[in-house]
Amino acid sequence: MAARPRDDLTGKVALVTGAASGIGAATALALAVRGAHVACADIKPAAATLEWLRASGGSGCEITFDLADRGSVARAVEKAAGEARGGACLDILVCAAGIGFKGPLLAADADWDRVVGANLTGTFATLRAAWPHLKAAGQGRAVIVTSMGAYRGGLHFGPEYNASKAGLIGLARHFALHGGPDGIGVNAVAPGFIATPFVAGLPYDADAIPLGRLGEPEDVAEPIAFLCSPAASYVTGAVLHINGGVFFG
Amino acid sequence: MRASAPVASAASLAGHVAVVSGGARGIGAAIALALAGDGAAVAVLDALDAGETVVAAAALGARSRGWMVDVGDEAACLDAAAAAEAALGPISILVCAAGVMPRGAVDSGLAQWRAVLRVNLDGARHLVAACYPGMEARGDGRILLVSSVAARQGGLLAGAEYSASKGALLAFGRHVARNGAARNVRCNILSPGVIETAMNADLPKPDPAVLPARRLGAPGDVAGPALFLCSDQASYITGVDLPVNGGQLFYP
Repeated sequence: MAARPRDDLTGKVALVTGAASGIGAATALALAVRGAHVACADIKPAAATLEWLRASGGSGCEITFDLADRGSVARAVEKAAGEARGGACLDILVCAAGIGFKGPLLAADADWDRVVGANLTGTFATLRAAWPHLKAAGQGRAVIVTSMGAYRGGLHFGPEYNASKAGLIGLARHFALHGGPDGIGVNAVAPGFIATPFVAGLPYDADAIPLGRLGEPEDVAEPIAFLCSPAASYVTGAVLHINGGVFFG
Repeated sequence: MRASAPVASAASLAGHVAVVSGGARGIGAAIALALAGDGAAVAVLDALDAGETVVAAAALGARSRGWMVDVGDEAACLDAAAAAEAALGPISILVCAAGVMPRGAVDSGLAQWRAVLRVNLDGARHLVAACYPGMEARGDGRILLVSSVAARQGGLLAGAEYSASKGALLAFGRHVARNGAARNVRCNILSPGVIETAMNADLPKPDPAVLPARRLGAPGDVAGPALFLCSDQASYITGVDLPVNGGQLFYP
């Protein structure tokens, strides 16, 4: 399939974290079919994603890393940037890795620290490590996956999850403000109820969603691919809500 | 994990018919041509002669026709939409980009208030009224209203009536989104920042150095995001206001 010229990512190198499943996996594929070489990073094996994108004519590599370990994050970013010609360039960064679980309203310290440490601190570490490489790319693009829960709270995950996701919005905006002069665009997407392994088994009611269905990973991956493309070059600091009309922002 | 191909890159608007108001020049023309380039047939409505856009759309291989329409005139909008459907087929995409932006103040006088609201807000209402029933009946509609950063930030050169008209488009668009969703009619809003066009050629512009992007926008910067929101790529997105402003204002 030929990409639209404005969507074409041929020759670009991308790093997608959380690429083993769900939104991250679909994003890796969406970038790969547009021509990007995609480093698929996850704490779990991302071999299935690699197989999927290669079967679709794309190229990529697999990186194992732990979002909660800053050294591991930095090594993953360097490995991804090493995939570029010249060896230190990253055109696209998609931070989709994250953790969350059902916890009490009055979260235990350990749960709070673990979730905020991975989702917020780990994403900051990812962006920090990638920043020089995004600068080197000239027109670097970063997309951070936050959540509708950052705006609305949530029923299925603890407060640490939604607080971490809200923190990512401030993070995205700070880097958008400071990345502009270097040609770097930074945006966020805020998915609503998306049918992924991450939320498997949780009771979501499709009838409560105006568009009448749960989202699919592709419903988020395609907008992310747009935000990573030259078509979105004048969009920065935005949060794109992808929720079937549940919440307008 | 599914092995099927994603919505992906070749998804096109072939088979769709789009109405674009304000399509003779500037942002509207850029959007019309982006839709045409993606395979849609395009009806170009404007108070000005839209011939250039129609010719350019045809050069891209698209079926295209132009109608000279005052969008503030309800009957003219209904007639143009009916003529577009007769010429090109059922309308599935509506982009309301027609707008006026005279210089003004907090109070620019009631005449100017009404003149601006008549085009910027009433015009969108008339075209939605013309196109929405068919979209609802067919279960496929993509409506895009072009608002402005002035809706949230206010303006300094254009009058309060301009900001008010653009703010009203946000509420109007969300109402359409909420009610259309059950019939798969999506309605989104796109809010440009400072885009250099003929409409604002005579107005002073901000120093690009104050914008994170360090440049003012061009109509082409808006066309890609507009095409995205009208495409299947955005099939789970409705009721949003997408800023296209180079970082001038961060929201929502």
